[in-house]
Amino acid sequence: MIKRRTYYVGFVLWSAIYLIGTIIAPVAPNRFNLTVTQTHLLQMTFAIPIVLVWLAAVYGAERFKSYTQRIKNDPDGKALDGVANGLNILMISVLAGGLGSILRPWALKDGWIRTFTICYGYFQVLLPLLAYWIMFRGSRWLRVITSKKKERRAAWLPILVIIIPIAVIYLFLILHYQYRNDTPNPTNYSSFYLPDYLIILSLALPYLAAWALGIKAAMNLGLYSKKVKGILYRIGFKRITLGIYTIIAFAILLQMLVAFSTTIAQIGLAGILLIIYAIVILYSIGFLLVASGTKKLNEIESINQ
Amino acid sequence: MSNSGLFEQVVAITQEYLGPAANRFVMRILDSHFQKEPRQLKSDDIPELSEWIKVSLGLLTDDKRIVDECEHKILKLI
Repeated sequence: MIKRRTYYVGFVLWSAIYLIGTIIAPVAPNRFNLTVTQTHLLQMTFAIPIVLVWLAAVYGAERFKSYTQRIKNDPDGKALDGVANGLNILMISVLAGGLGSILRPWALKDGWIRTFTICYGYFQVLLPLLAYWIMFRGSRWLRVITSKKKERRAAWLPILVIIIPIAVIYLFLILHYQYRNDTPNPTNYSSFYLPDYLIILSLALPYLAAWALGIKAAMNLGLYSKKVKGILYRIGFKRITLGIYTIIAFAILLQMLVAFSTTIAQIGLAGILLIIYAIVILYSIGFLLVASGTKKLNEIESINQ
Repeated sequence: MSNSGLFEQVVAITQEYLGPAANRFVMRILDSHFQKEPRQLKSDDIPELSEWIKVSLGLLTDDKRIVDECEHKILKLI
């Protein structure tokens, strides 16, 4: 069992490395013509909110895991512990993605940006895929608790209805992104450094699979929260479900925005900051909703203890 | 009545309010206030058990109607 302190000590160390790494990283010329000091100040306006999102993510994931550890010997506990494991991996992927990104300036300066970008891209897709798969498995066990009937294949139809338009937009954006494999400016970097067929097969499709699993996991949780007995229990559980819906929705949105980055860059610095802050706040709200719902369920488990 | 059937009935009533947490909730009350196993629960224990459940549920909600309704249903088991 992971101790509560491990989460927060890990968070502090992780954040310290990230903030120091952001400050000491080499600064490349940028499209906004900022000085080195201005660039560092701008980087801090991104880095500090990111660290706050991490704190919300660590708090939400830690609270949820500590609750499910408490009840993991019961059927609902076993299922929810699976969901909590997935949420913990998602939290690690959020933190690892941020920490990994501070290596980019060195990769750009020292000429290994191609290798870095390819490895980072795969890392960014594989961890969420694993996280959503584990969450999906846990959520499926929850479904079994409330319904003995075997799930029909038609139950995946709403997922297809949601994921197909997302897939069309996402693939369109990726394939129309002019700097996906090379850039005319040597001080800049491309997004993938991979041939189109590999971008689609080894990055876009796993992303779409991950999102489909994530949406299905959230829908299973939603169904469970509707069917499960317990007026007071449902209050807490609905909050957790809403939190997980929010986290998954904004994880998808964030990835879409990355694919849409050339268009976003045209709206100017203030616009970019506004979009990033909005996502950061909403992403944090997702994790905080999970923590709030867990608090309610933990209250039930704490009575008479 | 003295068997785990009575315990199951109390859990079934409590489930309406606490869902899957009801079994653990009633078990904890039996363990901490009665020092009894579920199968040792007797009809005579029901008034005191309903009181403990009422007090405990009162800590989880301000809705007095829910608390009174649950207590009333449990008392009916006698």
